[in-house]
Amino acid sequence: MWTYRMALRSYLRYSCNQEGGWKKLGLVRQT
Amino acid sequence: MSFENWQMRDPFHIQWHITHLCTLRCKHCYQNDFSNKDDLDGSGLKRLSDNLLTTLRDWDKTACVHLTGGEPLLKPELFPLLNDLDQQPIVEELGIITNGLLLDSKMIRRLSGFSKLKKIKISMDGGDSETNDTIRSKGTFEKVMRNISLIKKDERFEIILMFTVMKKNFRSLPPLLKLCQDLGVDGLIIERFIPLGRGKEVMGEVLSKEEWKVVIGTLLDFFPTEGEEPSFLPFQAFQIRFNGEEPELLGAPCVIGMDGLCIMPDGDVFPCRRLPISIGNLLDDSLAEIWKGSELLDRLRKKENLKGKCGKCLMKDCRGCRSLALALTGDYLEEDPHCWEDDV
Repeated sequence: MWTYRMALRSYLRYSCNQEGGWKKLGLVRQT
Repeated sequence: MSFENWQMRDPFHIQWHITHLCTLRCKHCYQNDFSNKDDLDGSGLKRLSDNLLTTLRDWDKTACVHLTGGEPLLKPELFPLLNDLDQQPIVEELGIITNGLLLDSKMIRRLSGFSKLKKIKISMDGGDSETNDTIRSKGTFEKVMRNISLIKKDERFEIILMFTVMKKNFRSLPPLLKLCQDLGVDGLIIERFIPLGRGKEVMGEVLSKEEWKVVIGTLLDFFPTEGEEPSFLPFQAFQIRFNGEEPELLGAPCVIGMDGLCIMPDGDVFPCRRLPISIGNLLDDSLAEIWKGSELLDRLRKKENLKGKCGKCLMKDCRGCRSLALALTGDYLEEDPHCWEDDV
């Protein structure tokens, strides 16, 4: 189950990749 | 660090609505007035632009200016303004946000003359004509498709589609993602409908938090992950970039009071287009005075001022959507009605 604690952990992990006002979420579609 | 540089990033983002004139009357539009009675003439626009650039020079910041409306291509003074901004060394990037209907070959050629005008953002509210045209008006989907192919031929501009999600169209995201790939556009920006202006007449079209989660679930289906999923909560808008080797997902947190603002046709400044409270007018006040002196911006910069879950949440730069809070509760400091975390 998705919890606030998990959300917080992943927020801290992903919040440093910045491109302008946009943050890269580390998700790239593999086709 | 001086106050004006507090948490500010480069460039400073300006969304400038130069007119309320528009060829369309979309159901979710933030405007009530579609006249040019508040518009500034060429000298007024120049005065505003000088005001902005003087402060940004003092701050040693560059500017990213996106011109919009209404429909900005209806205003003849757009072109001298673009010309002036294009020649300013501190202007890093120019963009146009348009409904796409006036982008014929002649207009595209004319816009190609501005070297810093790199992005054309076009509203598209569905992945098929039926969904889009129910919101924007009959025939707009096909016309915009034709004009996108003209822009593509020119190979000069990045094309980014702008999708405002509401009850009527949120299930149209999968076909819209496919359409973006088929068209070869560079990006798709997804933002929620906030009921303002004419949009208040369709208040019931605001997504519920469960429907907003469906939108995010659609993004996760498009970007399947094996490991831990990123937190989507702090982001008020999402962008899918299609111009790399593979599509990539980006999120935008609320930038109110951080690195940008919105200018209205009469020079009034809003913290965000969707938070329609004037914090000054650039005909009377300098950008520096507005940025430093606005009590509203000051209040919104401090997370501890936020109410409910938003004030307690540990995601330090997530402030939820202040515009949604204002539109649905009447208080811009209230907790974000779309936050789905219950155990904050």
